[in-house]
Amino acid sequence: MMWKDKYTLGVDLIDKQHMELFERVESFLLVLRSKEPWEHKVQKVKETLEFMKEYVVKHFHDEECYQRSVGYPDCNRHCEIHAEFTSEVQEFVKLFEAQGYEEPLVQKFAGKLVAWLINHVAATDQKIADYIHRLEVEV
Amino acid sequence: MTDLTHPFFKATQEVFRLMLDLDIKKTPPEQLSELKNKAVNVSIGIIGDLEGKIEYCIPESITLEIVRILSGMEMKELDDFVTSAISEVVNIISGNAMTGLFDHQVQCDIQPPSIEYTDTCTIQNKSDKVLTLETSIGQLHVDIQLVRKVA
Repeated sequence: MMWKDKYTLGVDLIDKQHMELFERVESFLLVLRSKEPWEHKVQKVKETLEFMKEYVVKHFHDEECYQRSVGYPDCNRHCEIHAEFTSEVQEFVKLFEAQGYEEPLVQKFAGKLVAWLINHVAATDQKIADYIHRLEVEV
Repeated sequence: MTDLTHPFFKATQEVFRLMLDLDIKKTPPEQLSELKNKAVNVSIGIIGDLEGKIEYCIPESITLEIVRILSGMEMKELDDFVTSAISEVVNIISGNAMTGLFDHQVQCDIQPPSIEYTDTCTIQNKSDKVLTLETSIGQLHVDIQLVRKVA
């Protein structure tokens, strides 16, 4: 299982969205890494990319709004990281559309996605939780 | 001059702890027996105040274990998924190390990682800029091949 309790920020909306992201990515991996013929997996790949395009944008928007609402000082840099990742996903989507949903490219996308997501939630997003905790201590 | 190995050690330590729940410590370079295995060599180009490259030599068994921990799924071979995931981990470590260097007024950027397969992790530059790192899943090394840019 990919999700770990230590990824929890303590912000209900964001935590639920993170869990949903992890569940979707895990489900995607189970299909992608199965021994099914590639033709059977392509539909799941397309569904995941559609989900990623919409849900990640929504999640990033909600998370950025939350950061602004609590005055998170690194919000601008965090937004840049979101924008860079969104751009990279779009690049992959363009490649898929141009080259077809070839398995090696999709496997590469999945490898990057897993490592990026875990680092982002385990390290970058945890800094928001640290900031909130400091605010609570100061009050 | 700034100790170049420290930002890379610190970044690797932090990424391994946060992403993999693994501790790492430095090991003397002579204790390299486990590195005589098939390995992936991930190379990251560096541009800026310092120029050159960083090579991360990670034995196959450790690479597969790292990606197993990340994905929660058993990995059997160095396929596209595995090499992409390990490249991203190395990319993250290197990016964090650049932040560490920046804190010492050294400004550099990383280039996209390139990956190749080797039969053994041979340290070509036996200097104090090679980090040999011990984890509970085995050893890996980081060869820091950087020189200050000539003005």
